[in-house]
Amino acid sequence: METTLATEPVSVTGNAAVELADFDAVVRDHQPAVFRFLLASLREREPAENLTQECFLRAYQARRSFRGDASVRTWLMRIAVNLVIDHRKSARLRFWRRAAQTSLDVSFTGDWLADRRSSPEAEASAREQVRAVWKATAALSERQRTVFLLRFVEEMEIREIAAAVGLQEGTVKAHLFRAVDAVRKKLRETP
Amino acid sequence: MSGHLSSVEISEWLAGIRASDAERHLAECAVCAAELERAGEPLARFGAATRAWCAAETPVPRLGSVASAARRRQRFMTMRVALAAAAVLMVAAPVYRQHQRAIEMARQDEALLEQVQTEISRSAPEPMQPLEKLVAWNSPSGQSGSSQ
Repeated sequence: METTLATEPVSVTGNAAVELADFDAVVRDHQPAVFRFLLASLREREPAENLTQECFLRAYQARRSFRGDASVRTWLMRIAVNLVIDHRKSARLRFWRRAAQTSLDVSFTGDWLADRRSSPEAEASAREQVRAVWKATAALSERQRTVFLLRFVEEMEIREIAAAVGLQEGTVKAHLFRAVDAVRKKLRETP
Repeated sequence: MSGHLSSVEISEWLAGIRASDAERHLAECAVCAAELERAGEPLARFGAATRAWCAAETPVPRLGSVASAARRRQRFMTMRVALAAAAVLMVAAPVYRQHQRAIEMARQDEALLEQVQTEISRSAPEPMQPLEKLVAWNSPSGQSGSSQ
C-alpha cells in the first residue's frame, strides 16, 4: 500500500479549526475510534495502544497545518492508516503473519455480540459467522483489509475512506468489492 | 434487469457500488432485498462485535498527556540534534585540520617543485648569471637577431 503523507501542510478552516483548538477534547472524542481501528488492524493491544498515542502525538504536532478539507476523524484515521502501514513495514513485527502462524484466536470477539434475544443456536451461529469473517479478513491484502475495517467496523462512508487512505473513491470501491466478495466466499465455505 | 441479483452484484452493493438498475430491482424484488439483508448480516455482526470488543479494551483517555508527550519529544529531539552536532564537530575538527595540513603541504610541495624547475632551467649557476648576459649579447644568435 502506498504511503501517503498524513501531515502534509494544510490550512485550518471552519469547524475543524475550532475542534482542533481543544486538543484534549479531540483525544477524548476520537481516541476510541482510532484505538478500535488500530486494535482491529493489529490484533494486539499493546502496539495498538502505542500507535494510538503516536497517532495523537503526530496530530498534535501537525495540528497547525491541518487544512480542514476533511473531518478531524478522517484526518486522524489517515494518520492511523499510515501508522499501521509503517508498522507493518517494520521487519520486527509482522502481526498478521504471526497471527496466521500461531492461529491467534479472535473468535472471542463473537462473545461481544449485543443481540442476546436470539436462541442459543442462533447465537452460536452468529459467533461462528464473526469468527469466519475474522479468519477471512486475515487472508485479505493489506489494502483490502484496511478499507474493509474502515467500512464495516468504523462505518465510514466511501468518500471518508478514500480521504483516509489517500485513494480515489472508485479504487476504494474496487478494493472493498474484492474484500466483500472474498469474505462472502469464505462464509459460504463455512459449515 | 432480468432475473435476480447475482452474488457479484450483491457484493458490489455491499461494497458501495450502487448501480441504478440494481437499486430499482431491489425496490421491487422482495427476494433480492431479503438476500441482500442476509448477505449483509455477518458483516454487520462482525462490525458490531468488533466495536463492542474494542470498546471494552479501549484505554481511558489520558487528557493532557499528548501535549506533554509532544513537549518531551521536542526536548528529546533538541537534545539529539545538539548531541549530533557535537559529534559532528568532534569528528569534523580533526578532519578539517588534517585537510588544512594536506593543503599546506601541497602548497609547499608546489613551491619546492617550482623552485627546482627554476634551478634546472638555468643554463648557468646564479652567481654567473651576469656573465651569461654578456655571452648572450655576443653570441651568433644575437648577431643574427640584430642583422635581421
